[in-house]
Amino acid sequence: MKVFGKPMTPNAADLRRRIGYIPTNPQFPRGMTPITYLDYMGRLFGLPADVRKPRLASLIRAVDLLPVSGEPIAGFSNGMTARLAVAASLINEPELLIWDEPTHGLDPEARRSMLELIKSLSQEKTLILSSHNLSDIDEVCNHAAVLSRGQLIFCGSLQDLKGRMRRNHFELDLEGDQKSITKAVQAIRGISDFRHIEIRQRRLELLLQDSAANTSALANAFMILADNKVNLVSIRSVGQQTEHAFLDLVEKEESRGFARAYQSEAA
Amino acid sequence: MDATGLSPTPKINRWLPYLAVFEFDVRYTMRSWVYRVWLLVSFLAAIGYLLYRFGVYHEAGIVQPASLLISDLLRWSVLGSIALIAVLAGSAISSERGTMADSVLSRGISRYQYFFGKLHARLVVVVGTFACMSLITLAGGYFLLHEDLSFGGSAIALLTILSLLAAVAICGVSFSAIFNSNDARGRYSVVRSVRHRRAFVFSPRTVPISWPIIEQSTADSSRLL
Repeated sequence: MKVFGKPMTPNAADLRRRIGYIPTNPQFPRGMTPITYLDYMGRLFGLPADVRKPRLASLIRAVDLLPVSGEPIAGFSNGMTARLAVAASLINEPELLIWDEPTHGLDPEARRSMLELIKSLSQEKTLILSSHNLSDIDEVCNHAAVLSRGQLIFCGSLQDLKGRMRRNHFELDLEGDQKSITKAVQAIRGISDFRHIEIRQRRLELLLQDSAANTSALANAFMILADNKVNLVSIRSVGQQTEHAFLDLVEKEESRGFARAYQSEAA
Repeated sequence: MDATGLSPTPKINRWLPYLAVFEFDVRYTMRSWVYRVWLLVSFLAAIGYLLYRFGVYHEAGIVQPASLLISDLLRWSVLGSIALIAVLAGSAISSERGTMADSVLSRGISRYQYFFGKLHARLVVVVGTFACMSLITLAGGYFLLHEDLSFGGSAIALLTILSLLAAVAICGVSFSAIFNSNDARGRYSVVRSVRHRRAFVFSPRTVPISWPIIEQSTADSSRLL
């Protein structure tokens, strides 16, 4: 594996000096305080005292740990340890940040502040996040790589990932006479392209068959709505897009793997 | 964003990571319960042994030369300490694998610096502590007991014992770097082999007669002293 164009080996300390890393559950030595821990981390990067101390002080302030900077880490909450891990990953002013599950175990407030921090850091640094929380990925990432059973099954922009999603679930907000809407819905139920149709007040939910082409099915539905003088206020694709796209990808990969295994066994 | 275009961190002291691991591990080892148990047990055993010998003198009137007394005390201190030293050295790296080691090795430190930082820290703690305890014993013996202790002999006996303990510590840390933390059987076998003096450096059956082995060197210490 190459990082910054050079092979990353166990002794490639020069390369790791340019990387800031947070493991999934960062471990902290017992009896240390944020100041002693960050000082230790700074020394592990080979930073001399005149560089280390000012950075340490500004990072402690930046992650809002100044009031507890002299207290043992053992008594810290998950949010505080996560902030300390962030500070430790920034002590060497890295060009590349690799954070493994940075929002894992955080309460909503701490998670929100972590996501904001990621957004602000991403303006000037390259961040690689590993997460199972796809709403976080959706919010802060612009590129994604999907791993399934150790295999890379997708690598590209988040837009590309979402573009691969089967768009077969739509919600339509309608406007018009309730009788006309009911009549139009009855007519739409006759179209075989739709697997599930549900009307709640003036919101129509349409779920297409997997094999159906969404443009022609929706065009038919719009024609029926127009014939019944029902106006369309809005239309949107339903669901957490990144999550759906991810599940789609994994599902397809697993079915391919099953097919391959079945074929090899049959052969 | 292209990360390669940015400048690397300036002013790096390449020895600082090694020193950081060394200093941290010395402090950490001296705070560990194994180390404290070793100190306490050694101290209590020494006191108990001297009281017993004093009792023999007081009740039976048997006077023993200082060299014999100190030799016995050092021998039993070494044999009693070896298992704890093996545990102390054997837990240096393997116990941190997957936890603290991840946090340390993901920073700007090479595997060599980490290993040697740990090795030297454990060596300094083990050898330094035993040297202090032995020097106190020898000084006490020299001033308080009969005057048949020689300075040169004491120094040779002490150096021999310390080199054996250093060998135990080096083997322990090296095994610790090789074995996985979950490989309890491997670690137990190291401790057991040292405990039963079957490790190759201590066994009179497997090493040349000229090599210093623990039984031989401790048995000969009264002659040296």
